[in-house]
Amino acid sequence: MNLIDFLRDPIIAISDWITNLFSNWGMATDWATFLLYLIGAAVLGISALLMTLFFIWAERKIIGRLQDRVGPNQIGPWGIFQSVADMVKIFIKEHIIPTGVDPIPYHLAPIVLVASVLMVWAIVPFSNTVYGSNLNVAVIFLLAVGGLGEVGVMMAGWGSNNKYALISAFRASAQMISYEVPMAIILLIPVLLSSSMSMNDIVNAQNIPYILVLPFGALIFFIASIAENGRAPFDLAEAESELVAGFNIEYSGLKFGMFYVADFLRAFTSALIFSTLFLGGWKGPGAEAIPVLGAFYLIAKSLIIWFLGVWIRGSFPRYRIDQMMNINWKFLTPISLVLFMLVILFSKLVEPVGQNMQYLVILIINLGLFFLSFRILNNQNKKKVVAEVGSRTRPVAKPDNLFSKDVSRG
Amino acid sequence: MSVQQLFFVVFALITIFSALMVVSLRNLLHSALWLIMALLGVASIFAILEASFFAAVQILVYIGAIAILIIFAVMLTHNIMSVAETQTNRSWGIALVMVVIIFFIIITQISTWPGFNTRLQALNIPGQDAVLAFGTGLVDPQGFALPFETASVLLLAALLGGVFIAFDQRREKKS
Repeated sequence: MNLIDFLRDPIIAISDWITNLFSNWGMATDWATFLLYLIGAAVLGISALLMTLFFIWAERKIIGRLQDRVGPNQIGPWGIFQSVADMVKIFIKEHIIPTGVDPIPYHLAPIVLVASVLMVWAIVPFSNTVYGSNLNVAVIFLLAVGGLGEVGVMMAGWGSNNKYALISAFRASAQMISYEVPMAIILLIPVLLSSSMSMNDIVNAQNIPYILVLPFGALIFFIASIAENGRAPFDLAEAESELVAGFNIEYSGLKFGMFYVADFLRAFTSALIFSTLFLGGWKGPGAEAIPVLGAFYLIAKSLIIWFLGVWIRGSFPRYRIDQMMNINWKFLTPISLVLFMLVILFSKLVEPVGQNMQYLVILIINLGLFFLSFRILNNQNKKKVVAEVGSRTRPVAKPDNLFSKDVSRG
Repeated sequence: MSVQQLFFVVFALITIFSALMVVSLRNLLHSALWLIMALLGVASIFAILEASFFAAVQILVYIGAIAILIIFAVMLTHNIMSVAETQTNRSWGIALVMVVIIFFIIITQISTWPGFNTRLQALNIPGQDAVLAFGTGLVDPQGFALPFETASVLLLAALLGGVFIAFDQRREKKS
């Protein structure tokens, strides 16, 4: 095997080499496969966790820029080694266990939470040859693993023996359960269009990325996934002004680090899922001949989506809990149900005409529903009476100019 | 022993142990958490049997929805968390006797069924087609359409009943 072939698809080449090695050692085939999967899972998990170091740094830097600050800037060029230093610090910190905790849920919660995020990586196809598992029910698996995350949150909230942690856990799991509903409904549309629940088949079916067919569906999915991750503007679970620090308030040291890592990793993981479902996954020019390019395209697309999430996080204020529930139950859920039903009906009606016509009709339905719902929301907003707090004539930060005194400001 | 058999034994032991913990622990919330463990064990056994759809649905429905609901109910019920509460009432003896009798009746009845001793054949349908076969089996009139729809009607009735019970009765009196 020459170098070019190796570089074209390094992961498969390495795994072939390991398989050969095991069979040369005289290992039974099923044990060799088992060990190979074990090694693959370990490598994937560790690289995902290490990537988080970079994401934490990048997110702090970007949000710093958005909010007119510098961000991490001391360790290494542009502060790039800041999160490495943080990691080392968190490893050697004292681990404080408060009295009165419920030990098993308390100690297990961070592990369950991180595992629930990492398990999603098992079904993501990174290129047309490299994927963890070509599960035929990947879409259901995705939602099921989200349910495990809720269990982790509840265990943390309950086990901490702290009322703020418990309230925050209630909020977080209520939010996660609620936003799973529109997410699941929208997930059904790519499943219908590709007539498969496997991620590989969904990617293969996307000759046109589904975001061009389903722009409104993709938007709903994006909002729901932000809320599902509990990131700003949906970060009610860690509203410092009300709940001190969220369900991880009683955790310190490495266990707090696990929650932190789960939080940041989940943001990128949901971007990965979004780009797999709606942006064509690893597809791109030359990705089928050279699988490494596929992984590169997937990461690049995910980074764009992830950046959008960070941008929103850096610029929006937090919703109140009633607003959060209203957005889900009074807007996202009904509109996604309507969208889903219309898409089923019309795509079946025009199916004999051909796929392009079908896509066009679905696109028109999407845009129509988007503008309709936008109009309705705007009209409702106009009707709403907002009580004004304070006065119109507020002091301005800069001193008035002596020569052009603005009378209207008073 | 192959890898698969080893895994089956491990997961079966985990499931049985967690099921025992569910009924024997004093703390109701711990019971609920062990229930999640038991359901996960069942899901793993489904996965070993290559019934990935059932494994995923088991986790989604039973852990993601029902176990979370149980945990919420336990947490929001007044005074149920205290260790002083016993999980048995006075009639546990007669209940035990009845359960043992019914268990033996069921086992003897099932063992007379000819399908009891036949070795099951693996379904040789690869990948996506297994789910497709399952789906068509559920909605095909020749398959299980009738029981499937009956179950839907039952669930709808339960939903309506739930809404009726939770309905605000004071508002009715006003009108």
